[in-house]
Amino acid sequence: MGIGDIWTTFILRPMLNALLWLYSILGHQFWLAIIIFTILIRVLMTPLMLPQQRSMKKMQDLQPQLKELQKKYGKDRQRMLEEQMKLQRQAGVGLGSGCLPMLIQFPIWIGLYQSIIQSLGHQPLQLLGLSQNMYSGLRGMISAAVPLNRFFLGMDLSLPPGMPLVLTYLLPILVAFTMWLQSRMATPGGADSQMASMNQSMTVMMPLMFGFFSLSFSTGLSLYFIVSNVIGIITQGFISGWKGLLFWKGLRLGGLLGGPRPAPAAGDSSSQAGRGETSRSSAGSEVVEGKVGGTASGVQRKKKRRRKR
Amino acid sequence: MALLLLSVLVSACGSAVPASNWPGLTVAGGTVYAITGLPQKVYMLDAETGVQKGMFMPAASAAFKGQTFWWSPVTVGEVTVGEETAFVGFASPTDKVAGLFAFNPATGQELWSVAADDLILAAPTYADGTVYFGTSSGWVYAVDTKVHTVKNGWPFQAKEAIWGSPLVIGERVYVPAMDHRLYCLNAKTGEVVWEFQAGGALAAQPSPNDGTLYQGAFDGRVYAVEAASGQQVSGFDFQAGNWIWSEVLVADGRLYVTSLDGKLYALDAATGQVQAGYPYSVGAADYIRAAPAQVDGLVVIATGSGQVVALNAQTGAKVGATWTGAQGLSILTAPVVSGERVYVLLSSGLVQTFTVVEGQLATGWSFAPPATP
Repeated sequence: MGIGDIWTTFILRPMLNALLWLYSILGHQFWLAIIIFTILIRVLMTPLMLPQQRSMKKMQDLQPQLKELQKKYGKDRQRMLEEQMKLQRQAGVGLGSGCLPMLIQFPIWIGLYQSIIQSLGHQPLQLLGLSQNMYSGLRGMISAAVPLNRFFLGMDLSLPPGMPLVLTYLLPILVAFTMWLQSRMATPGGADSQMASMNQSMTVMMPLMFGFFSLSFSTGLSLYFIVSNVIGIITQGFISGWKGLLFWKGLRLGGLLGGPRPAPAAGDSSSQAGRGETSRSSAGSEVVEGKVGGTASGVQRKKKRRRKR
Repeated sequence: MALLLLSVLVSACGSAVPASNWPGLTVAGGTVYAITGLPQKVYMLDAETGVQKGMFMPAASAAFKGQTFWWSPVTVGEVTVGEETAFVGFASPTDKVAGLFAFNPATGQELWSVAADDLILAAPTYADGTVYFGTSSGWVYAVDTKVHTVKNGWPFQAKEAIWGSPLVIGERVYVPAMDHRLYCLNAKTGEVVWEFQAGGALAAQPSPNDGTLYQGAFDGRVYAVEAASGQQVSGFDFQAGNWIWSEVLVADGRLYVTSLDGKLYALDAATGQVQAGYPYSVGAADYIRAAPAQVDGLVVIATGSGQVVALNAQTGAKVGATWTGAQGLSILTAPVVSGERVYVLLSSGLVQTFTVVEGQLATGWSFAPPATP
């Protein structure tokens, strides 16, 4: 069995047939099949995604202590990094967990893209693949329905965005926006300015790139990205709080492109502490650091009490 | 890491499909018209020797429909040869232009063209100074070959794509459509005379026999329809195990039908009953997209895994050895019989010929398109 056969047997066929089955029970609406399919995938991936999202939350909670370390070892960068790693290990932050969910999602994206192209094939070679990859149990039902209903709000889900339907260009924008919002809610600011800057850049660059590349993907795949991101936003909201959703509050170009974010309200360290704040801050964020610093001291006091016990 | 993954995703999902249809093969007037190569072109070969006589492709940057046409990628249908004119559909999906081109069948010189709204995947049909063709958007055109314009009353629009060639008999044009309907249109006016609703998509030209049209469908059935009325012939019933994508071959009072279930069926033309010795299976892992061909008492089939098999038409018994193309190649284009020779076109663009020697297929000349455009 070659790599192509393994891919077809274990990735493409299950995904394709899952979509076809959903299509057959959801009133022959492929867009609905994609949405339900996305929800099912996210549910299946919860055991992988949740630790990552919790890890992000822990990173957010650690920001005050990381800043303390930065103040303490600011000149000795090597030592500071060692202490930061030590602190993260103690707090149970998984350093390598960030890429795993993306690695897992990767074959899903490609498999889903191929499934959409085969299911909604415009041209003979695409549809030939569908006939060969359908499970026999679905063959009768799907064969009688081919060509499948590929339209959603007038958009052809098998094609990339294109004129004359301007609405199709909304999907890449929504892909970028929902991804940015999800990243914004999940990404810790980082104690040092370099890390914060890097996180901020990734928060903006990745969504922009996904949005840009969505211009060449079928709109069905964009629909998957959007629904998946919305689920990610909701999950992250339950873990980190919902304040990140209020993206328009204090939104300015500098903040969007990696500058400091507005300060969280006093006592709101649970959800917003340290996110986006950097040491190269303006007068406004000086005040924030003071408040955060106070909160950090409180955390340290709690730890000391625990040690005494 | 994320950017690397994204790059791979883009290359896997975002690239354009170079060819969306299987290559076309036509033999007429001692010339083989094989559509092969990248970008696709019409190669004109001597039918007896395989020597290239010419080539047709619209000029690379020809102004067409007010736009510059760069041919990359290009989708080509199948050639039809009319009266001193050959017709073929060309399209460049990336340039969003498509049309029917007429060229000199002897020299390959372009004569004229007509713009179409979408890809023309099936061979156009020529009859009495008119060329009929359907497009992937579901439009059916009738073009007057003298004045090179669409005739009054045309085009006709179906609800889905047209992937099969129209069949013209007298004043009627029968058009199979992916919307599960077989349309009978008035050749002069383009008006619907009747329409027959099948249980699956129709992607092949109907086959006429004694006032009946036989039409394979994606629901695996062969439908027998009265050409005059559009009524389904009672008493005829047949269903294969998978889609029927090819034309039904009518020969010796029998119907020969191939299916994506990998089987060749011989049916009684009146009842649809499978005849003794059939079906012949090429294996569960293989499939047959291409229509069968008949030569000298043999039925020739070509398979998705690139095999060519000859069977005794009467008994269904395999005759001689199976011919197999290079690994990974498929044969989706129907074999063509002309004179004593069988022409087969592989997915690589290789034209392979066979002749019948002592009741068996023997290989003849072959032609491979040049590696470079």
